[in-house]
Amino acid sequence: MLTLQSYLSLAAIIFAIGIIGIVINRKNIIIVMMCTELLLISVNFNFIAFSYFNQDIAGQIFVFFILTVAAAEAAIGLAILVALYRNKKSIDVQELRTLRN
Amino acid sequence: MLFNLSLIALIMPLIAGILAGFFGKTLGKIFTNGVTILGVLISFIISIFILISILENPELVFNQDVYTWLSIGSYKLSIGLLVDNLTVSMMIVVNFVSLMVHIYTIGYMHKDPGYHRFFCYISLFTFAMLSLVMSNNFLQLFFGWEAVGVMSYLLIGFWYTKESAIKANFKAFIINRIGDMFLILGIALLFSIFGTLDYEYIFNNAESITSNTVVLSSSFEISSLTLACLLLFGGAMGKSAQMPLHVWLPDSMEGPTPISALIHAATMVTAGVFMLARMSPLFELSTSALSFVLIIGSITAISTGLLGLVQYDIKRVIAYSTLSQLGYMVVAAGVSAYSASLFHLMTHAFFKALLFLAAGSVIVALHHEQDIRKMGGLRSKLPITYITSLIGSLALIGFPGFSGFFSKDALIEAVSHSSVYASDFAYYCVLIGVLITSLYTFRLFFLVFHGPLKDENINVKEPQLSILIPLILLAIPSMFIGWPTIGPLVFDDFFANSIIQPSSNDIFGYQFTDSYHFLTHSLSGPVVYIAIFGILVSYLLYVIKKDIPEKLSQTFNPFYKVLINKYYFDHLYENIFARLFNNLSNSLWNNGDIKIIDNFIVNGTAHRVGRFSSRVRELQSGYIYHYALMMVLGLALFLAWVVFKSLGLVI
Amino acid sequence: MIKELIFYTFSSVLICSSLAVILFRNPVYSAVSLILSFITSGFLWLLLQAEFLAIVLILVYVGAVMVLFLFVIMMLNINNERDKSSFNSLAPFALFIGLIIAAELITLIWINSSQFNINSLSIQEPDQVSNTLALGKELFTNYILSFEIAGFILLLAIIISISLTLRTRKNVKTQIASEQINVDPSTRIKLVDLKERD
Repeated sequence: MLTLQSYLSLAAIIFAIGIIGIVINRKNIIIVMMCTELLLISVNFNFIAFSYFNQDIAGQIFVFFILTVAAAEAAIGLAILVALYRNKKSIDVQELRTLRN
Repeated sequence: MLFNLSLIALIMPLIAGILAGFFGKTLGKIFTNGVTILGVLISFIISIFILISILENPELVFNQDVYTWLSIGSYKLSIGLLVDNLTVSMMIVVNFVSLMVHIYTIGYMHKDPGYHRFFCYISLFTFAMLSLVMSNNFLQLFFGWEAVGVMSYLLIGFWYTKESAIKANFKAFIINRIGDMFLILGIALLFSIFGTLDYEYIFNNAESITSNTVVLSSSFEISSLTLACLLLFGGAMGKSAQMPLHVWLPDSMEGPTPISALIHAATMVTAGVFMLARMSPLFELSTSALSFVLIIGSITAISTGLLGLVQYDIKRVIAYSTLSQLGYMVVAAGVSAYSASLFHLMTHAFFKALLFLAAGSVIVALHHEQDIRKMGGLRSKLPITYITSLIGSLALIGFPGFSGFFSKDALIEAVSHSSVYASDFAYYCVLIGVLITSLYTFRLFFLVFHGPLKDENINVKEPQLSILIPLILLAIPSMFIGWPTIGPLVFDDFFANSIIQPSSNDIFGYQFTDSYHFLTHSLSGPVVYIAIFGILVSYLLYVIKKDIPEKLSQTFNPFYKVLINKYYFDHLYENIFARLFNNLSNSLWNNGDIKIIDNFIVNGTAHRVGRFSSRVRELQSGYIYHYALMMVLGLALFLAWVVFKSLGLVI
Repeated sequence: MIKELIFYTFSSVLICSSLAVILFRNPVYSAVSLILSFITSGFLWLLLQAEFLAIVLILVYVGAVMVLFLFVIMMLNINNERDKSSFNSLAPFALFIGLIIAAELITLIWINSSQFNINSLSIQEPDQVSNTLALGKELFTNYILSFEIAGFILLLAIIISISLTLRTRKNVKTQIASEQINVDPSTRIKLVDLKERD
């Protein structure tokens, strides 16, 4: 029997993987962005699961907007990445330290 | 009518002083001395007019508020005038001496660049002194008290480029602060008891608090009235330079001579005596305070007189004489003979101002030479100064018939009949004091005016008229003022409406009627003969056998050293108290201010924040994944909290 | 029964592909793994009767966003050889934290399941009304303003992306039409009076 808890647990696992991916990521920022997408997917999972088990379409509306915003975010993030690469010749996480000083 | 006149008398010197101070430099010397002399003259004339009015009609005495200065809740502090016989006699003395000094200053200071400043100060001083004596409450008394102190400070340091003058005015200021602290504590104590500072209320209700006590510690209680009297007398000790707060007065001679005459002989230093007389309703209720006053006064009278014997500065000798005479006045107050005390204050104001001004005349004639060893034989060169000095000296030692005789003899008579604790001690002190007084007075007199004339003084001639006129004008009351005034002032009840004291019968043990009666009585007592004996001894020592003092000083060398060093009071103050306070302040500064406040609290906080921040800064590595980790860590902790909350493990 | 089978199959694929995203050294592989994650997610969403969103996820994400990702990765030509050091020094700690978060989340889910307030009986079998129609009705009635804002956000994303990446190179010979149109005769011809010169 599939319950709400199974879906939520799956989402929690995906979420944890995304988080681990952000932190352990070694070289480039693109992976960080992909992990962000993973996090968003896991959140969307929650919304859709609740929407289904509560029979409330509002959850899907939310997912719709999240997808929109996430797509915009991905586009902008990649644009920033391109600009960054042009200036620094690198998107290496360990070389981008301008936040300090 | 009288109220408005007294108000005018009070503020005329103030206006004159302000005018002289602001416009004196631009409008010239004639304007400066004109306006200030006019101000004091008006004040003086009004004082005489008030005296006559009051004598004719004693009902005219008034005690009236001018305005309310401050009111806090139920407390009200007013500025007011109290004009009674005591006030008016003080006003006359102050104004007269001040007038003489104003005139004298024209001659004495005519070359000084600070001419207008000087006139400004002495006029303001006159105002301050008048407001002190005319006040009807403790607040105004304190104002006058401080204002005369400030003026004294400014005038002692009048020649502010002279280092010794700066030190002297500093010393006077600090020591007066000690006295003023006592005074304000006394005033505060009275205010806390009565809730008002008005003389009339406090004096009328003083008897109701005789059983009040102030608990100083669990085992030591003191009658609050006695404590208040002692504290007030502490203020008087500072201002009237009583032992051990006397050290500033000899040093104050660094100021110009007119100042020494006006402030440090005739008026300001007698403020303490005046206050004792004004506070007589309080002091009369506390015999222990009176005994304390008596002891301090008699010690001052005898010990400071001895110092006068070894000084060579003409002004310092007179200054020590002033100290000694102030001791006499305080002694008289101590035996409840306030009228005798005030009478001595009055005669002393005349003859001591005279002596100072005569000394100033000598100083001017010798081109600001003050060492009496370089003087001598000046009687032929300065005849008027010589005669007026002789009058002043005779008055000072109490030669029969002179003003000082009446006042001092009456005072000693009162001491001899007193039964206050320590009055016997005081009696012997003042008797020996008489001998010492005549010794140092005529030592000075003979050394300056007799003996051979020094070569460098051949061309000396009398100074100008404005110096001589005050001498003559002051010589007259110094000689004669005792004759008409002792009867009403001391033996009769002239001060009855302002001073509470036993009847003259009780004070003197004898019913005197007039001055002639008193003179014949005194000739049968020892005082006059002691004084004359003193003259003869000093004639012997300083005119005939001039080598005796030298030998004496060698024979009694330790004693002489003590005297030369003024009983080591200055050493004591400088090396012990001043150093103690210096060390205390230094350690407070170093430990309290720098270490605790600056380094620990103020800078320390910044340092600690800085250190903490520099550690926290290490977290700011600049790597995005470090920040991400922090965020995640926060999320983990938050989730942990939520989990524990759901499990009911935390609140 | 078939549902459970589908769910567990796809969720294990999803977890594996997600792990692959963060474990591959080559970003191209990661991107491809992410595409697989999106596709399996789409299948799982179909199980939850969210057909429209599942299609959108595949169309928009796999078809557009992930292509964009791959495009950027290729364009930047990131040197794969340098990716020798696989994880940074924080990896063990991060792994620990991540596991703790997962454990906490799952604990929370099971603890609070009573509060979800779900009436399993109310879950309906495939609707008569299509999911797309229901969603469209909601979007264009109750959420019309939000919908407009979402469109505006997308417009914003377009503008931002272009302005961020637009490069104007110097020393390039191009016509500037606006300047050509705005020429003025007075700046072009200079009249000189020859007589006054003499």
